[in-house]
Amino acid sequence: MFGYVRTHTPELRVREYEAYRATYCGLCRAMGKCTGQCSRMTLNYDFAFLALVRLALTETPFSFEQKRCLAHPLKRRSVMVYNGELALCARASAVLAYHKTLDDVHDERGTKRLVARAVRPWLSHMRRRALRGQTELIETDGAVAASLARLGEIERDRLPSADKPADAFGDLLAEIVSFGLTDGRRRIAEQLGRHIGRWIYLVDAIDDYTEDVKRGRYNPFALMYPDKKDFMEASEGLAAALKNELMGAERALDLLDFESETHKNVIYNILYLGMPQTVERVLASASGRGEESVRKESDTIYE
Amino acid sequence: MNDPYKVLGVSPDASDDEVKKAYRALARKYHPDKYRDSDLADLASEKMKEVNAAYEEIQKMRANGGSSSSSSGQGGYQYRTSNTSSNPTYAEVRRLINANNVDEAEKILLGVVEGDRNGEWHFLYGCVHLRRGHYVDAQRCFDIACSIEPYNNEYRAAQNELRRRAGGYGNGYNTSGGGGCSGCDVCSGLMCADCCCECMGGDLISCC
Repeated sequence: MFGYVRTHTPELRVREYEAYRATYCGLCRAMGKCTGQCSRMTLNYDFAFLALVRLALTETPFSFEQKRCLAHPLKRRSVMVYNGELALCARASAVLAYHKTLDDVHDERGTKRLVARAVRPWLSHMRRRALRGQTELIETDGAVAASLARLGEIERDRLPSADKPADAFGDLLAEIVSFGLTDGRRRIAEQLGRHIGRWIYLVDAIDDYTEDVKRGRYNPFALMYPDKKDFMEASEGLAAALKNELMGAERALDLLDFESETHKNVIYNILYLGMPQTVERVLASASGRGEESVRKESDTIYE
Repeated sequence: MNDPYKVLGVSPDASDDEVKKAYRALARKYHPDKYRDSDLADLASEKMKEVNAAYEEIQKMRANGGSSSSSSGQGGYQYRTSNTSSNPTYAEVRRLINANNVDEAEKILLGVVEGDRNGEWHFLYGCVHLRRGHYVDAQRCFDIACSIEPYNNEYRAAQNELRRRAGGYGNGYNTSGGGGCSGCDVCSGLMCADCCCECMGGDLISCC
């Protein structure tokens, strides 16, 4: 479900690219610090974006430093200096990773389920560590669980609607983006999270369409368009729907003030270029023109 | 109220066209039509009001001076001297500065007896320095003007803008955060600024 929210790197300035990478690294380090070294493996690009957005929402000042790390021991890299907001994002990421795995244990079959079962104990430990002393996150924890339960219910009922499960996932992300915020900020964050969440769910469903049809797994589009030809015909409308979600996210982002132009440019690069590019690739791959799956494509940043 | 130029995201020496362009872009960004079916419509309309107010404020500031800059190169700092003055001597100085007649303006200013030099005097003298590219002196004059009249927006804006400008050189390029703005950076920055101005038909440092 993750890995779709990315930058369009060729259009980034070098300093913007570095800032993005530094945010990713900073978040990774914060995860190591707050929820244990193992949790660093659950980090994904979507969360780097969410961290950037939350830094803007909370107007947290941030800075960078040069550091080495185990994954890249040879070169010192720019890393965002640990701050309270990064820590909160790291904790939220652990909470989400745990619930997602729990969900996989219930809903998946085969190897995926086995893997989920195997990693569950330490993810559970990770979550407990993340929640320790964080009262605002406990509410988030409950909301995430509720959203995923709703999603699971929809999947079990095999509801032939894409919007219902997308809403459930949108609510989940709205909670992740907005926890701890108040008033106008909270409303902006909720809208942003909701649209991004809906977008992620829909893109994921399109990306998995072929696979899910083959395996008979729940996918709203597989139920709505059992015939691939119908699905292809609908894809134009889907592209428009996805664009609408992005416009909703844009409306929310436009209401934020950014301290630094670099920070702003990275976020808008993802919104204006990276995410539409994902849509294009996902639609191309669904129609058999592109690669197998967008997520399986090699890592362009940490090669 | 916030600095209207900051709200529009343009520099105070931007031309009228640039200000208008920035205003239009922001008006599109916060347009009620865009937020018609959004829950955030009220927040957007607040932003819109802020932008409208800032634009009006700038229009007013520029109109009062009777002169408005049309080309970005020669537009430098004119807004600061474009307000009418209650004191006829200073009004004349403002007119001279706007007309780029810096020497004459300085002569008049230096003619004012020491004891009569108020906040406006220091501010205008700062503008004279600025016209010549004497940033340090200009900054000192603006500082004095601000300390004499701390609530004057015009002086405050000039002071802030100059600081922001000086700080702006290093920031964009120094992502590691270490080191500051060396003497070399200042010179090369000024050279760049001068070149840019010259490209646009103006001049920042008249001697080169």
